[in-house]
Amino acid sequence: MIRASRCVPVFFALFFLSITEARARVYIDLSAPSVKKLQVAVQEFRDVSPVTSVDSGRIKKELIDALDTDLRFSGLFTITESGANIEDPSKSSLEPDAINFKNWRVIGADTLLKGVYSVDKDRLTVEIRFYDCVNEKQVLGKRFTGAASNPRRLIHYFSDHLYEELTGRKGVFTTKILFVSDRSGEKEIYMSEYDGMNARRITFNRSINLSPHWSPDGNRIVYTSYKKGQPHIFSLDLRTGKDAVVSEKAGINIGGRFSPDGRRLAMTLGLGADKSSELYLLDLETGQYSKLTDNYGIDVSPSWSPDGNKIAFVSDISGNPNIFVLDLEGKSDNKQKALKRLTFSGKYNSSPAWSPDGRLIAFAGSENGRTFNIFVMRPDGDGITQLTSDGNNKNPSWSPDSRFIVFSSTRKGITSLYIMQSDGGGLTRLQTGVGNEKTPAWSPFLE
Amino acid sequence: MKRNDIFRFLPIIITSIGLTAGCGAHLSKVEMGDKAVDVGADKSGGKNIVAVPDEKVVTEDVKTSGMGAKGSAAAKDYKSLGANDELTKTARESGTLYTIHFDYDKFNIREDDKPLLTKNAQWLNINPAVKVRIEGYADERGESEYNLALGDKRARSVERYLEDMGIIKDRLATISYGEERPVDPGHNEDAWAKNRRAEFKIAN
Repeated sequence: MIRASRCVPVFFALFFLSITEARARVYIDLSAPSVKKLQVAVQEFRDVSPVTSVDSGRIKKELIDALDTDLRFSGLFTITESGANIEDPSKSSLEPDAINFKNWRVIGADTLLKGVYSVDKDRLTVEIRFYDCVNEKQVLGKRFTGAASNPRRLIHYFSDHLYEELTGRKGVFTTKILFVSDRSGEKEIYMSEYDGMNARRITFNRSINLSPHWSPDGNRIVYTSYKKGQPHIFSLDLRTGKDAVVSEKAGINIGGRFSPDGRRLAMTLGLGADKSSELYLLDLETGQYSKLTDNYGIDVSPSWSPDGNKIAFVSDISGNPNIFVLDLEGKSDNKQKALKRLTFSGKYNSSPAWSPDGRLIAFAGSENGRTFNIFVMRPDGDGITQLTSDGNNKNPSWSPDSRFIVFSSTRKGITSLYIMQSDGGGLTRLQTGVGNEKTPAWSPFLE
Repeated sequence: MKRNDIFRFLPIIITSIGLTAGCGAHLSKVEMGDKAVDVGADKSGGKNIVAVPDEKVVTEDVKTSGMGAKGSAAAKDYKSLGANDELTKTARESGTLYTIHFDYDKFNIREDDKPLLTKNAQWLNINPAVKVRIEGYADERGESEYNLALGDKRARSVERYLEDMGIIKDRLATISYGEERPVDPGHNEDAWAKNRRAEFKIAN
């Protein structure tokens, strides 16, 4: 909830008095039942390069477009449409003293964003200021320098800062999303920014590549690949490009998920000696495997609780696929007690995803085994809430702040990725430009 | 690519074209290390296919299309189950035995498929040098990891059935493709019924 404008001066004063204290004091309380949006005007950015580059127009468009995307996605702002040219952008100043805030207030803008940018060969510098028009003060001013080939990225960094300034919480604007697409002919792994832009392929082995997931530090991914024949689990270091096999037992090795501390990997193995596929833990330091399930059913798709003490997964030991939770702490004492079934309705419940804040488990459920929808429930299985109802919706994955869910949906025909708020609102289709995108995995916060 | 390189690789290319002709393997993309290089739009009239530096990759293309063309000379010598034996013909021509099918979310062998499996086992009995790979598949419904495990169960269920009929385990291998590589790309009951299957691929 926004504080009423007469309260704002108090908050500004606190910001300026103490930077360290500022983090704890927020303009917008996201835990409030409803968030009243801020009216923001965005002034056209000004190119201040010594020599105007041929890319100036494209860069300006990308900067404004990315800012627009981030502001809308944040859920904190309503953009004042008539705000672009209250001042002549070529003459307007970034200094609060030189801004006539009254003109901006007249068009309804509580807040204002202005920016300048400068291109030097392949480097782009962007400076953005965020002002409170009511108190006629600057709230945030940041300058970023990066590759001119990706202006959007600099805006995302700014958006993270702005979001944290206003809410006291980390923003997800610099996070990324992994997904699978068969657009190259075979299923390969792709990575895009959180908004679906700048998607690029990161596997090129032309076998089948599935189930990408992030390491907790965001530096590595694990994925399942047929590139050596049988499905094995590999890791790819995103910084070095180093690709290494993680699990290549005889039979199937599928769906690895890092534990929250990054030391273990939960996965499904189909060893010949087992009656069927079972869940295993691999200790990444010792290379030791330990078996988590032992039954005649299929056990797949593990999802760790954020404290690392429990694993939600899919099993058909009840007859059809349902979601169970295994208490790793209690396992040695009593196997039956350690295992708890969470879903009891529908024909097919799959893809559990524990929210990073631990409060909910999202999953894809189906009444008829054909059409799936995204649901959330509490970790005890209560409070099941359906979030989608249109098309075939699968494989939910949480944003690291637990505010959003990315999933795949066929609602517009071809399978695409969509983001929604954790209550099902604010649905946005990601324009990756790739097509037939499946099994998304949202990154943790990235450095 | 230098001219002498072209000659160096020429035998490989000729071999691969011979093997891939008409079997659906595509050479529009060739592989160099871990990067795909698209030569589909190459203006040299396809001559740059020569740029394949790695014989192994081309061989794999043929292998993954599952064609009998790669079979050894012994393939011609398969023993037949008798006159009008379709199975031997299939084995010679496509390197496969009878495919069987499964009910939704099930991995048990259906009664109507047991005669086919019995034929496969009899044929393997009279051709003791042949090894097979049993490939388990699922239809597209449901979740890909679950389907992978389901395909594994189907393949292993067939493997056990053949073992019970006296085929030694050393001659049998299994792999699951889950919902990948459907035989029918449709999104309806007919397509799904075809895709829930176990295929037999002659592996030597």
